[in-house]
Amino acid sequence: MKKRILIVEDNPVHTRLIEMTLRAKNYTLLKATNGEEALDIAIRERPDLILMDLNLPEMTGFEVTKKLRENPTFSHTPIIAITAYAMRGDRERVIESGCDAYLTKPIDTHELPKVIAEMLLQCNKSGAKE
Amino acid sequence: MPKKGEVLNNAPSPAITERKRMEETLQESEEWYRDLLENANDLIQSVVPDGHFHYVNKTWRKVLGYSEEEVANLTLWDIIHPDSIPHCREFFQKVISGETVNDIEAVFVAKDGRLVTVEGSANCRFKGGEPLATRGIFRDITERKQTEEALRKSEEKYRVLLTNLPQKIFHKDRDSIYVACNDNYARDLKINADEIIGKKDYDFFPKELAEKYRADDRRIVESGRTEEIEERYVQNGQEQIVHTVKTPIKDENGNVIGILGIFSDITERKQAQEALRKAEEDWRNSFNSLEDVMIIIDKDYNIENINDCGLALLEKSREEVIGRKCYQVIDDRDSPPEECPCKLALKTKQVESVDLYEERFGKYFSIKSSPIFDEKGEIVKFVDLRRDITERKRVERELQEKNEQLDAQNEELQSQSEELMSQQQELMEKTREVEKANRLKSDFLANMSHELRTPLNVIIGFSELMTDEVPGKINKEQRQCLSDVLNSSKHLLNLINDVLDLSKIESGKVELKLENVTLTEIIESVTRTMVPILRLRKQSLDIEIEERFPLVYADEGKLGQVLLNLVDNATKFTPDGGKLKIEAARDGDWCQVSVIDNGTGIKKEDQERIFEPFTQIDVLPGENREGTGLGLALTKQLVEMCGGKIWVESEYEKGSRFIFTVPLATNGQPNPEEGNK
Repeated sequence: MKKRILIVEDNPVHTRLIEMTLRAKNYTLLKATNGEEALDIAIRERPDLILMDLNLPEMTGFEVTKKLRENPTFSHTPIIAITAYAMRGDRERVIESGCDAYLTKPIDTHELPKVIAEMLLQCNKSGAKE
Repeated sequence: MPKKGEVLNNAPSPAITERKRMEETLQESEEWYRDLLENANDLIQSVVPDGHFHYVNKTWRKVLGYSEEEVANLTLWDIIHPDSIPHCREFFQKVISGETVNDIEAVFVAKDGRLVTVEGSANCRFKGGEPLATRGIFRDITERKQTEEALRKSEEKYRVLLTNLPQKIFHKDRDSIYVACNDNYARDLKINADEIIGKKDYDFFPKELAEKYRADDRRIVESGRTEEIEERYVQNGQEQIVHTVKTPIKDENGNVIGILGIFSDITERKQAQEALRKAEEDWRNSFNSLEDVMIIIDKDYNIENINDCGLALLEKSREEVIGRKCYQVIDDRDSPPEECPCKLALKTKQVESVDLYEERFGKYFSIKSSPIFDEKGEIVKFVDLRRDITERKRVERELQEKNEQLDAQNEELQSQSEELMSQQQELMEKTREVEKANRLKSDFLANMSHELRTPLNVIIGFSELMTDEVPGKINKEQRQCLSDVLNSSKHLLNLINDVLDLSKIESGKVELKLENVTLTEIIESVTRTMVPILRLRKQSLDIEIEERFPLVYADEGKLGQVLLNLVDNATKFTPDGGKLKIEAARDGDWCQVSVIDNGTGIKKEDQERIFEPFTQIDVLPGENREGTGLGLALTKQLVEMCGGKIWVESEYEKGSRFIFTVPLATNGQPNPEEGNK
C-alpha cells in the first residue's frame, strides 16, 4: 500500500517543489494550505507522515502539531517540521511541540526524500513491534 | 757737791802751810774731777759691794729722777728692772771679782716708773785686795732703742706685707743688681729671699731673657717712668700670663736709685677675661646674625640694644637708636601703641606676642616681647623679637586666593560634573536606544535573511530538480545555465547564512554550550569535511598535536565552525598543490591552535582589517573560492565568545598562520582515547 504523506504548506510554489522532489517516490501526497485544513485532512485521511511548515497563517505549525499529538491516533505519526527559522531556541521549540525531525529551508531536494524514507522505515519497525 | 765726798775729805789736818798748799792743790784737783764727773753726759755710778750707791752723778739723778738724799737710801737692785736683774747680778759679780765688763745693757726704772735702757761698762776699785766700789759709766739709749724697735716693727710690717703678697716683688739697684725680693719671687728662683742680695738676672735666667730684663731695667732707669709689661710664658705646656709693673725708685732729689718690680700671675684673670670676651662676642654675633629683629628695651621703653637686622630695618646707626624710646624710633609716635606687646607684658608679666602690619615698613611682623625680671620679680627689661612674616602672609594670602579660586573651579567642576552626569544619563539612554536599534537591526537581519531564504529555497530546489531532470530531459547548454543558477544561488545562500549568524551573535541570540571537548575529534571531523576540497585542489593537510592532549573547554559546534572556517580560508588562499597544517599546542592554561598555509599571505596593512566584516582580499582563481567576506569576522566573534583570542601572522606571498586560543579544561585530563591513536 502506498504511503500517504500530508504536506502542510501555505505557499503553493513550495508545495509544488516538494511534490516534484517526491515525484519519483511512490507516495500518495495530500496537501493542506492552513492549520484547520491540515487537521481535517489528517483526521479524515490518517497520513503515514506529515511535512509541516511551521510558519502558517492563523494557526501555526506548532499549534497544529500540538493538536495532532493530543489525538491518540497521531501520537506516533512522524511529523517533519520544515522552517526557515534558524533562530535561537528554534530546535528546542520544534521538538518540544511534538515534531520528530527538523529541516530548514531551502529544502535539499536530495536530502528530503532520504529523511522521509528513513522516518517511514523507523515508523514501520516500531509499529511492527507494537 | 756730794756730801759723802765732803765727809770723805773732811778729815782733820794739821795747819801746815806746805801741807795746806798741797791740800789746796789737791782740793782744787778734786773739784775739777768732781765737776768733770758731775757734768758728764753719761750716767756715772759707783756702787759699794753691798749694793749701796757710793756715788751717782748729776746726769744719773736727772735721768732717773732721784735726789741725792733719795739715792743715799737706794741700792743698785732698786733701780734695775726685774727683767734685767739676773744678768746684772752676773755682771756685778764679775765686776767685784775684778773683771771689767763691757757691753752691759740693762733697763733701769726711774722714780716715776719710766724705763730707761742703758748701755755701758763697769769695773771695780780695790784696796788691799778688797773691792772698795764699782765704777760704772752708762749711756741712756732708750730713745735709740725705741727708734730701733720702731724700725724693726716697721720692717717686720713691710716684710710681712711683702712676704704675704701674692705678687712676686724684687728690688734692684740702678745697675740691676738685686737688693731684695719677697719669698714668692725667691721661691720661683728656688732660693731663699736673703740669698738674692747682690745677684743679677744673669745668675738665674737664660742669657737672652736676662738681657731683655736688663734692657727693660735700663729703659726705666733712664726714663724714670713706670712701665707695665704683659708677658706670656709657656710653662709645663700651660700658658702663663704675667703682668709686670716696673717702677723706678727715686731718692729725695728725684734721682733713680733702683727698680721695683712687681709680677702678678694673671693667667686665670686673662682666661676669664678671654672667656668673657668670647661669650660676649658669641652673644653679639648671635644677636647680630639673627634674621629677626631683636631689641632689648628697658621697662621705660628705652632701647638698650638692637641687633644689626633691626638697624637694617630702621636704616639707622646704633648710636642713633640706643637710649631712645622704642616707640619713637620704631613707630614714630609719642607713646607706645595700644597693641604694643611690651605694654601688654608690663601688665600681664608674661610673654606677649602680636602679628601686625606696619605701614611704615610695608611689612607684616610677628612681634614677641619676653619680659626679664629682677630677683624681686619686677620687670627690668624686655627682649623684643620681631619676625618679618610678610612673605608668609603673602603666601597665606595667595593660598587663600588659590583656595577661593579652587573653590570656584570646584563649583564649576561640580556643575560640569552634573552636566556630565546628565550627559552620561543621556548617553546611557542613547546607548540603550542604540542597543535597542542594534537589536532591531539584528532582528531585521534575521527576519530579512529568513525572508530571503524562502524564495531562494524555491530557486535552488527547482534548479536541482531540473538538473536531476525530474521535470524532463535537458540539453547540455540548459544544464550549464542551471549550474550557474545553482552556484549563484548557493553563494547567495551562504551570504545570507553568514549574515544571519553574525547578526545572531551580535544580538546575543547565540547560546553557547560550553563543555570539556576533545580537540582531536573536532580536528578529525573538520579534516573529513575538507577532504573533497583538498583533493580537488591537490593540497595536503598535516595535523600536529601532541599525544594525550588535554581536553579543552568550549562549545564543540562553534569550535568546529571556527576551525572549518580557517581551514576553508586557507585552501582558498593557497595555490593548488599547496601545504596546509593544523597545529595545537599548550600554552599555560590555554590551548593554542594554528592553521598554517604556504599560500599568498597577507600584506601587513591588511592584517588587522581582515577580521572586519566584508573585508575581502583577492582570492586565487579557481572553482568556488570566493567567500562572503564575513567568514573571519564570524570566526573572530566565535573565538571571543569562547573566551579566546585570534590573530594572524603572515608574510606576503609566503603564507599565513592564523592562531586562536581556547581555554584548557580546568580539570584538564587528557583524553584517554587520544593515547591510543
